[in-house]
Amino acid sequence: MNATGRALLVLSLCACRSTDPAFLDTEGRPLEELAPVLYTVAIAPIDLAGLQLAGPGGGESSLQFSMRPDELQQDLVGVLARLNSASAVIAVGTDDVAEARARRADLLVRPRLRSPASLSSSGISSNGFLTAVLWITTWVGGFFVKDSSYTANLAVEFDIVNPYEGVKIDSVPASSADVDLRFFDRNRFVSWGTLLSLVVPPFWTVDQKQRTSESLSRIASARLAARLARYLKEDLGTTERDFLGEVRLLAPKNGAQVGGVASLNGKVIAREAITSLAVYLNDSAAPAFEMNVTTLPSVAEQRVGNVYQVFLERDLPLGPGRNFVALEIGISGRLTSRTLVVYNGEEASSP
Amino acid sequence: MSTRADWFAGTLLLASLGLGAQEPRAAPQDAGKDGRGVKVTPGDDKSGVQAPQEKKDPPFGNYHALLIAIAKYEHQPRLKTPTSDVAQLEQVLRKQYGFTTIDRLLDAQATRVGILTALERYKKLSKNDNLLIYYAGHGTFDEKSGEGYWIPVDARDSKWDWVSNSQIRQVIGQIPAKHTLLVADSCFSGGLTRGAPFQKPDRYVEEVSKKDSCQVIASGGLEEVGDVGRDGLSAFAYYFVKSLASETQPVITTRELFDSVVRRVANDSRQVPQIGTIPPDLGGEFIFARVGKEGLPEATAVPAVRVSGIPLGWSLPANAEERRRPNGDFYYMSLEPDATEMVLVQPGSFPFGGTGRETIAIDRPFLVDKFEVTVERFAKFFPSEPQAGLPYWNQEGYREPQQAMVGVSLVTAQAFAQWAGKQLPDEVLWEYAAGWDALKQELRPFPWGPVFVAADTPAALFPPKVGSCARDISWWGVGGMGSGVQEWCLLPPGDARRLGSIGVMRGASQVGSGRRFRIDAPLTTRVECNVETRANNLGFRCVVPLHR
Repeated sequence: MNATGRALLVLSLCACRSTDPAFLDTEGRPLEELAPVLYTVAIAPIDLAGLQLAGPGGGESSLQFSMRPDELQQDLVGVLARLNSASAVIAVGTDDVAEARARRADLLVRPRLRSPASLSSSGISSNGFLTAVLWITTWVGGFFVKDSSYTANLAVEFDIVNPYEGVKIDSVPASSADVDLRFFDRNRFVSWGTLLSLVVPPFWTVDQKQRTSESLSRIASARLAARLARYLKEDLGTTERDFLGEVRLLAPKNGAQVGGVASLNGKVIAREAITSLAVYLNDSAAPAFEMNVTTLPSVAEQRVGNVYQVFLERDLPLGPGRNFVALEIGISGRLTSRTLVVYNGEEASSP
Repeated sequence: MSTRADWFAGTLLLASLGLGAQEPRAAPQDAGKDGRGVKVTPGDDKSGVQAPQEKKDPPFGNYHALLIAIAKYEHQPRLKTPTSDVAQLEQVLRKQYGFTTIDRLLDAQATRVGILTALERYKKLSKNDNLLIYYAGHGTFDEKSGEGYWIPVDARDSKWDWVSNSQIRQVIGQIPAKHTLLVADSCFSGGLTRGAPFQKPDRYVEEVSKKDSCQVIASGGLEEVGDVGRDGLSAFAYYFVKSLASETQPVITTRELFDSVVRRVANDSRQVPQIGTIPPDLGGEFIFARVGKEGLPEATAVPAVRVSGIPLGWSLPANAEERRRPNGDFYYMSLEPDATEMVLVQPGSFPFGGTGRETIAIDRPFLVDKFEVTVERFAKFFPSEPQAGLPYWNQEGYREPQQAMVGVSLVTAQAFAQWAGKQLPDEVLWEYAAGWDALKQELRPFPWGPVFVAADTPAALFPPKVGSCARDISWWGVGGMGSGVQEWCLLPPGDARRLGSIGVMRGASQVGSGRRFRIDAPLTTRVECNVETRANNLGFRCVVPLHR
């Protein structure tokens, strides 16, 4: 391969691998590489708020959002888990608060549809020239460049709810807008498009509407999930300090392999007095240890500046495999909790 | 004959036909002659009836009772409640009404001869005596002859084995007691009773206490009555005993007692109690007189009319008033700014914590909010919004007017109470109002009784409306102490930490919170917590002590 060919190949690969900015944090790091938050997050069914999830198709393309509400919920759960967002991510039913409590979720997220999904084609993307070049020189290389632009409008608001009390503590608007697709995002290999691509560049071929809709829907959903993941990893800290208290664990790291004993070392910080603190291992209803009004530091002792803090140092013997360590914290009596995942004798993996 | 039938229906029929009282016979029959004698409870002398006590001169004379309970029939279907009926009644009569002699005729003792012999023995009484005869057992009524019968324990299906109304009427007519009251808890008992609507004139008690009386209360009309009602007692016995036990006045007439019982029994069962008289009734009334601490009747002078449920010598504070329901029951209202129904709780002593280790005396009556403070009531105190420090104020799920107000710190709850002219209860008062059964003299595990019923108090996401659990009524009549939400209480008066930063959460909660959330927590469960605790399952209610 000559130098020109190598350059084209590199260009092609770069175009293929370009990461969607929706999946990066504000410093450009991939979201999945950031540590998961200490929460078991429950995702409620999407509240359509009287709207149709799949709105009218946009313009001539007549593309339709292809997911049903329950599929969207499952997709959000899947993407959040893939992005290593939290200790655990679960889907709950319509009786969301009760189910979240029953399944020991620490945070409940209620997606609420703000506007129906609207999908439409907006033409050739800025990568069109690169596609043309790769198509002329290599033919197959043109298939891997995001050469077609679409508008995938899907707006959702995520209400963040403390499941212990059913009260909303924050809301996160999320939306998906422009999306670029590759040839194979729009067509299967065996298709008219593939045949047409022999004579015209891929961006001029006829697309399979169903496949295009599915790709747009999947990407739009993933962007919503990414927005939520970014909120959990970057923005929740501000909210939790005000409403849920803050748990700063120096050790162990969430999702870490720790052996037979987890040495908890950290502190709980809250805007109001910490009135109870209990640590549970896995599904036990009895706490591994707890502190109440008589064993916690006094309110005066807890107070540091304008916050209250209690230190947490305790060794917990773990069972084999994955262990969930739940911290149940009372802040002026209002309960909140966190879930830490640690592994004993088993390779840690993304929760 | 398989039912509990009332003997006195026939008695009343005979009375109405003019076959009235006979002259008293002089010679009493010998008790226990046939070897099946009458069991006499402690205190009886050789004759089985104590002589009137002379050292004190009670205003209404001496009180005697014959309690007949037949449950274990030899040839008839057995009954479940008679024994416990009379056991509870005996306890109340002895402790609260100073009955000097209480004779019990139980099961095997209650043969035909045993019953008649026991009745005969009361011919020794004088005009300074009062006699209560309580019968719980089978009976029957012969429509052809209009004759009613008691069914003794060993009776078969022959009238010769039974005790006829005529015989009983004859014997009772010979008893020279000033007032005689027959109470029959059995079927077919009320069809022949008579009586007009009762109006109490002034000085009623004084007048009727002077006149001879022979009254009858029947547990039902000409109908079957239930054997099992509440708490192991028949429906009639339950309310009869409870009315006596919870009576707050120093004296209560038979008609007042009947008025108190009749609606409750009718509402709680298919039977309607009846009241009537039999000769030689001269228009008087059997008077129940409560005893004080020294065993003397509380009433040293006969009150003119029963005008209040407040114990003698106590009075309500200015911000509360007593009212009366159409059925005559008293109830209490606190006045503005926090106008709400309250329940009167009488003094007493009880084993705090249910352990029996520590008996605490409640030395003054108090009113307690019938239900927890609601959002609506709290809104009058704290009308503006948003509220700092009230995390659930106007939040979805927490803003229904009749929901319990939650998320209030002990300090704020105290401020509310002060604004309302009330107080927060300490946990001793709370537990007494929630669990003490003054009739059985026991602390109930749950306000309504011994058993938790999950269906009555389902887990809830948000505080339910107050009073939504119909079962959750304490013996005193206070609602929602074992359901709804937990409640703020102060530490007991003697606790050195009382004025510090610790309060107590009492009661169960339907609102889940945390892994150890227990909806079925017995009422002795207590959780100490910081006074700033503002949980979504923590409300409060207020109390108002009475003063002398």
